Amino acid sequence: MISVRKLCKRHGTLEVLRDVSAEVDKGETIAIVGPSGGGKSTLLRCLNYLETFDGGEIEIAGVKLHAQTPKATLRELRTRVGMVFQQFNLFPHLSVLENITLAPRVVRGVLDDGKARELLARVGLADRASAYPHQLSGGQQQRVAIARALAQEPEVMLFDEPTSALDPEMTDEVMSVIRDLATAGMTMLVVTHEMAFAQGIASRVWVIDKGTIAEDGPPTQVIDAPESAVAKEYFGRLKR
Amino acid sequence: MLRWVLVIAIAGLAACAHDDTDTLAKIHERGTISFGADLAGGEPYIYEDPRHPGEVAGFEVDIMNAIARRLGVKAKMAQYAWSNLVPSLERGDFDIVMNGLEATTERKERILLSQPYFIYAETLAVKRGNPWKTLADLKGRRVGTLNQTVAHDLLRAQPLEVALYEDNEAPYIDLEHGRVDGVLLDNIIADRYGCVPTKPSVVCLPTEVQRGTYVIGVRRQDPALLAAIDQALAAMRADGELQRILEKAKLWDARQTEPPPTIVSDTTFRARTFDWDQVVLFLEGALVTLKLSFLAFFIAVPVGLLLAVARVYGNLPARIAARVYIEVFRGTPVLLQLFVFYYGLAPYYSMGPVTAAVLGLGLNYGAYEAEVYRGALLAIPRGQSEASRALGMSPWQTLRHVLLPQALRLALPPMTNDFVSLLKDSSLVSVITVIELTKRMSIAAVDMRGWLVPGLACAALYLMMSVPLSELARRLERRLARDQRPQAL
Repeated sequence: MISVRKLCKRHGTLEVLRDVSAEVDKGETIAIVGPSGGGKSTLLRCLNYLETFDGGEIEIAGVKLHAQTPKATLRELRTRVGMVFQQFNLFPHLSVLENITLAPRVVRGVLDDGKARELLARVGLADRASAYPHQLSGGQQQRVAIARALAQEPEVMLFDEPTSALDPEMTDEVMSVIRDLATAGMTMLVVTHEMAFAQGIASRVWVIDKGTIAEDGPPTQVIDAPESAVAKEYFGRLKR
Repeated sequence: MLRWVLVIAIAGLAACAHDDTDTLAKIHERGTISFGADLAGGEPYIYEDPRHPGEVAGFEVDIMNAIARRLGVKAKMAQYAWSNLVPSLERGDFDIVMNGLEATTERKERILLSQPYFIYAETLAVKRGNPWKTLADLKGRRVGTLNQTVAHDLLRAQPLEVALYEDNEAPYIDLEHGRVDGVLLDNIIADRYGCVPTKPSVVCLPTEVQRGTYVIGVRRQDPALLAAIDQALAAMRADGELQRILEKAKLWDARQTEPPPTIVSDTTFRARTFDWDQVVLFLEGALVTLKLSFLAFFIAVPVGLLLAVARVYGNLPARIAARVYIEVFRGTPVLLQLFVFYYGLAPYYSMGPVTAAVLGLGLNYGAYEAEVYRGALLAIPRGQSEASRALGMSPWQTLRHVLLPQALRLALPPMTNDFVSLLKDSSLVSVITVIELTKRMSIAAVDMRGWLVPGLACAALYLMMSVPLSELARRLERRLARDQRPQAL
């Protein structure tokens, strides 16, 4: 489903991503962890080209990306790859339902809002369709954001620290939605600091540090018996 | 103690105020006679001498110098706006008025008028090839003249539309471009600015509409000064100096040897009180103001949006173009822009005064709106466009559905501000002959010789327009800004 080959990105002289290569199969859920500044979010954002990169290739959901990806490709890419942000980024001037129906309507010409209501029900917010984002709690807003991304019927979902701006209680409600998606077979990459998520939901864990994937394996292996120094230190600190 | 301070203060004020002692004696004492005039009146009256910058020239300067010489003093000009000359004379800012002051019954009631130094004829100019011969032929048409002149009064007595100008050249430019059908002004102005070789399409009709005289204005309490001036003028007439001066300026004609006309001027149509007719005229003026403001804003908003989007998201040429537009329109006076639109562009594209006013104000305010929208666009969190792009929306769709709706909400308070400001700035368009609320007020104020009642009526009408608008904007803002509650401090 996803194949990353020798991905490079620089900010001036700083190498943010260094020859990152990785493969993700359909239905996998990858937890991306690691110290901040290591390149986790940048990698994720490269996958739907919100960040450009300087070298290497990505093939994701059948779309090929490289350093000079033409704009025409992006629409295709982004309807196949959904993204959820740390700060939710709901459109404040639109109701919950409009938030979900806007992109399908203007990008793909889908006028029926039945699907949107279905998605709202799926994230447990069927009764808030006419509310505005500011009337919702953070957890509710993030669930709407997930429904909004799902409305484009993506094949891959990217989550950029989806619970970092939330209280523990709300974290759980968002995590349970992501768990449901995993169970339903969605291919997902989740940048997170939640160990419970990495241990309980992820099929694989990537530890990213200094622009490379330092460790890649099932949670039992990476978390419980890390091999790299950075993973040992990272998980050691979390367990203390 | 306080009482003494007050007494001294009042005594001081009294000393500062103009006292009634003999002005003629003071002129002799000072050795100068100061005369109020306006250089804007231009050639041949009084104008800045092109050969000696900083000095004034003109036939009235020559006459003034001759009078001064005969009084044994020197003449010194005081620059004042022409329409303020008489009030300033009464206030005591200078000794006399000498600048194309026409003898009218109204002025005679107010100040002392000397013997005439020039006899003029009101001359009607029309465009070549038109059949009109008299004022009556121009019934229902648009005729231009200068503000607060005898010609203005003559035109107001006729069933036609008056276009008011502030300088000599402009009415004839409009005549050339068909924006007025006729111009009525003194023959001096008509001959110098109207039917001249450079304006081949303008003809001055030979029939004199009315004769009148230019006189020198003196304060009511200065009959001795008036007598001295009249004596000097009579002597100049007798020894031929006046004729020589007028000949030098190519102004001497047969009229000057004929007996001067008696002062007649029909001012019965002038408003004396703020009656129902005035109310109607004021309401019409307010309607013009409102119409101009709305139309101009309908131009300013899309222009502003386009410029803001070009500046924030455009490529380099678009950004530069938008920046240049904004700097030019924001950095130069809107008055200048109106002049350029109306007069400057006239040889290439002649538009009506209302069109020019709407376009001028609209394009000018577009520059201000652009900066408002730019600020609003920049104030929207980055995550909004990221989320929109991540959902597959194109840049245009992002702008249209996500950024602009939010930017407009942010822009609503400053936009309201700009609209109220535009409502008032629209008064500037009177310089291109559009009569809106403020101009209507100043015409009424001159007629009634009082600014208080017309001024208050005018202010009330502006408030009646701006307050409901702010209220409407406030409600709209509240309805739109569902998520924009003020933050607690």
